[in-house]
Amino acid sequence: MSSLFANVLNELSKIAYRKKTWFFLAATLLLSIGGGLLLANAQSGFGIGAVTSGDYPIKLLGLFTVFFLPLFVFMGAADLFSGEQGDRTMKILLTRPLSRFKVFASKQISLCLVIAAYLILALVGSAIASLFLSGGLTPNAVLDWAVAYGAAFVPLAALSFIAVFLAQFFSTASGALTVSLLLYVAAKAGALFFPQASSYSPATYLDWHTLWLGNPMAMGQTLNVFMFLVACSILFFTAGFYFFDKKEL
Amino acid sequence: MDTIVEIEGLTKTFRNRRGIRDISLSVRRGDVYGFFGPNGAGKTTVMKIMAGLSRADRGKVRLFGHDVAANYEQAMAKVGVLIETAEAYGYMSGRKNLEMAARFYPGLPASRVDEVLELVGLSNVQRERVDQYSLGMKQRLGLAAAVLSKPELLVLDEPTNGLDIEGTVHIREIILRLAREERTTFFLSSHLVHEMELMCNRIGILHEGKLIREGPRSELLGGRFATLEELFLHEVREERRAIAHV
Repeated sequence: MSSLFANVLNELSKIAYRKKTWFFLAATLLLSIGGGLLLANAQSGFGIGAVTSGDYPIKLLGLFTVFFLPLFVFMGAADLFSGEQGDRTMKILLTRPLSRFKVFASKQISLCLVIAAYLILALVGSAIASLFLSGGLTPNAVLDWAVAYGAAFVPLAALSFIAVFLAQFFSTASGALTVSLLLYVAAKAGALFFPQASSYSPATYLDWHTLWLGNPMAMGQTLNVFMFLVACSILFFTAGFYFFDKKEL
Repeated sequence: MDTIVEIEGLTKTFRNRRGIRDISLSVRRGDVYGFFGPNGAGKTTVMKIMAGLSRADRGKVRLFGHDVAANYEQAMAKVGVLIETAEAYGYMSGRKNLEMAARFYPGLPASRVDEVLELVGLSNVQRERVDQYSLGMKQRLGLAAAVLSKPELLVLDEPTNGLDIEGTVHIREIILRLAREERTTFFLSSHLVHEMELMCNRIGILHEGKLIREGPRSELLGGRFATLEELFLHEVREERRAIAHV
């Protein structure tokens, strides 16, 4: 087993051992299923069908990518880096025959894998909930869900690279989490006041998945945003590693 | 006899101007090398640089011929480390901590985790969460994690720190047993002179960041000094006198 893969497994084990991981996973499933059930109940009570079964997973994804999943991303990055530095367990890893690049990369990979797991769970939960809503389900709608949830991974992964970069400047998980959240809220609020500047903020593109659902799809814009997110990811990964590599414990 | 540890001109200065100056030494296979000095002498700084946790301003550390700064994975492949306090993931069991560490050593048999748990006397509490362990148990778990890969070199910084008498004796016995039976090379630090006398065949005396004396224990004592304590006090006085003359 390569040491990089070994540490990805270890990082996933650590994430799985934390109670808050299971809380977030349970919340993801409950929110997606429970939300669907509540909506179905409310809509049948009022006799309206504002959200159909085909729409529900996409609407829910919009909420998840703006509020819920960024919180998990910031928390995950803070725990894996600042948290481990604060409780001095980072030392355990950095004294094994594993280069700092592999330590850094394996933690980042693990965080991205967990983001993917959350998206899959949210998709499954919302797909189950959509069965309770009115409106016919078509194969195209199901394909749209898969495409949207898959596309949503890209901006969330980019956000995780930024969160990991920020975590390098803190030695406690709470400090990293607080600052990451404040910057995220500032970026979201800033977009309202300075719409031109917001195009340079990766937080603006968390709803990137909606571009994939247009008919016809805006290929040029979708590609532009994709390139921007990839560029941000590379930039913040490199900068994050630079600071991680310089750390003295 | 081949050289396992080579340290050349190691220098590091912290913002408070303390640090280490021009440390050079070598450790040969089978040595139990004791790095002795008072608190704040710079022992942990040297060991952190050896383990890649910190970087030197100048100088080099080579382990098994590999430069730690340039070739970390190869340099650390046969090294076990325990620096300052033993750390472990408190939300996991002692066993799980060791199983995770074992993943970094592909050829290691699954039974090795049981072996080291037995060696440090933690078999009966292996499934308990580490945050329920006492300080001594955590220290023993740290030692178990350090010896897990059957390393040829063990770098242990104050391995008996915070242990009671029984725990101290137990750790000392493990070190002596590994040195005797498995020919493990040790690079140990301690500020406890008695411990050094009982375990080490070579000694390096560190004072205010400078290696003031180094060599085989018997040679250093050389009939002139009954104990390491006497030798240390003599060397420190000589060092101060030399500085005063300059």
